[in-house]
Amino acid sequence: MSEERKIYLKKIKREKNLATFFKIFILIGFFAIWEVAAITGIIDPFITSQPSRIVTTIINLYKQNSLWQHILITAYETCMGFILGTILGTLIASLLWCFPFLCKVLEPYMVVLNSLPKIALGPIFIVWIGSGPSAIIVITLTISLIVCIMDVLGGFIATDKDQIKLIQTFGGNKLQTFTKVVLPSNLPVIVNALKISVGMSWVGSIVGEFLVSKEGLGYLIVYGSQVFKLDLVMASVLILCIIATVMYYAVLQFEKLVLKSRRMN
Amino acid sequence: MNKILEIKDLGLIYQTKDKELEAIKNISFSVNSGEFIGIVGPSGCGKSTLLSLIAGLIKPSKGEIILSEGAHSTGYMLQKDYLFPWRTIWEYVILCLEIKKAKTKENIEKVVRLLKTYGLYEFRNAYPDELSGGMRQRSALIRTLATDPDILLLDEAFSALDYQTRLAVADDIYSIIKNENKTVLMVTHDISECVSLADRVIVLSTRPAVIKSEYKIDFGNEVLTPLQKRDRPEFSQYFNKIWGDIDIHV
Ligand SMILES: Nc1ncnc2c1ncn2[C@@H]1O[C@H](COP(=O)(O)OP(=O)(O)OP(=O)(O)O)[C@@H](O)[C@H]1O
Ligand SMILES: [Mg+2]
Repeated sequence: MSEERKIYLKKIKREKNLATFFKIFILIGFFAIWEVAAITGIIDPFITSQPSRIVTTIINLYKQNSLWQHILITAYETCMGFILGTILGTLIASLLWCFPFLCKVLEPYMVVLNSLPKIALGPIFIVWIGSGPSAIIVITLTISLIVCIMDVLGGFIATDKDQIKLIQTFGGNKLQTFTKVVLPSNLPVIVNALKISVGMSWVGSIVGEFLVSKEGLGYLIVYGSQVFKLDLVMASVLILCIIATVMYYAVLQFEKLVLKSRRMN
Repeated sequence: MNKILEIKDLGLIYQTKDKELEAIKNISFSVNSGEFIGIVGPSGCGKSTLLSLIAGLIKPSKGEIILSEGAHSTGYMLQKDYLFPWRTIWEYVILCLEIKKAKTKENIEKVVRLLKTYGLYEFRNAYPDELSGGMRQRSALIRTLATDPDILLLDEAFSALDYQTRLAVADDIYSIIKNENKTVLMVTHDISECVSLADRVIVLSTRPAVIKSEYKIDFGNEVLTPLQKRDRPEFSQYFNKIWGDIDIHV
């Protein structure tokens, strides 16, 4: 290895270490300042909570055996929301691609549904479906569905014309064109739609739980704020941060895996 | 020599929302079995349209395309003949059989023979990103040959390659085509490619395409590869004549 290369690598490594240091420093600093400010009375822990009380709250939840239950129910609603949303969205986009006339007819309705804040439909679903996880899953699904349809349909329509022509030269029909070219070549688009849906599904499940629910992280947050237990609210938000990040990375890993197996990265 | 394809007074007008666009106007010519026809014309003149018509992908507005008895199928190699990144070479070359639901033992054996003959058999489980540009072009050709078409239609089949690779690949593909004894219709805007590969060159005008002139390419009785032809004095004579026929305005 040349001297120059060594210096270069060293420089990169130093920068990386420095960045890691500051990342951790900010995290610890933030909680430390929060804790100290609460202890010394600069802020009122009754309305801001404080890290040590958050930890106690989480431990208590754990001891009451309800921690995992709340986490799992919210995670379940979210996962079902984005998985169903992506599958359903891809199915609908497929139909619209196969029948362009249908697409033309439905276009204005799509525009309306896309501009509508879907959460406004929440109370309707609750009336129709009832106040269980099913209603929340439907709310979650609705939020990501339209965007998913539009993204995936856009990808389908932009499929390489020559690849489609190739199938036609073999005498392939529309369905074969779809299954042999349009769908496989748009795998990256579909997985990307899934990734986008994850973020929106969290909004759906949490707001859904705000509206109506007896368990879940969203429920803990509203409940905590109603009875002025800010410790519970902050603890739930903190857990939410962690779970959402974990889920995002899991989906990112999934995307990498899928694309790699199909050689599309 | 027997006639395999005859094109009579062919015309095509594209209908679009805001206008009519005449792409092809009164084209007539015929092709003999085993011939290699090169069609040159300026870009956008309607070359791809002509091949699409012959392949039966679009219906002519006027005129006829007559395939002789016994000749029933065409094989198409496209301008950007990308392989599918998600399919291995094997999965790709049998794509056509898959679509035509013709995966018979006989056809599969034929594809295996083609792959073996042209050195791709060991790479049958490779993905396109593991192959060189030349290998990929070969795979595309084998995919086209898999259904045993009577006429091969090449649409700028080499234009995605860089210049050096292009010369080598053209040589390679040419020898395979001659070996398999196929009739070829190749369109390109590259005059030198056309002269070095074709037995006969048809020059098209700017859009709407009509036949401007036709040249029988003759390098004597010697068997020459396309690359060797490029060194011959006849090569530049043909090149200059065709160059003069094509309207290229800069
Ligand atoms: N489906 C279509 N609808 C309307 N116009 C079309 C269609 N396909 C091609 N055209 C037009 O017809 C003309 C001829 O197109 P074509 O692709 O046959 O030309 P080309 O000679 O193959 O061009 P290039 O050198 O770019 O490959 C062009 O002006 C093109 O814009
Ligand atoms: Mg073209």
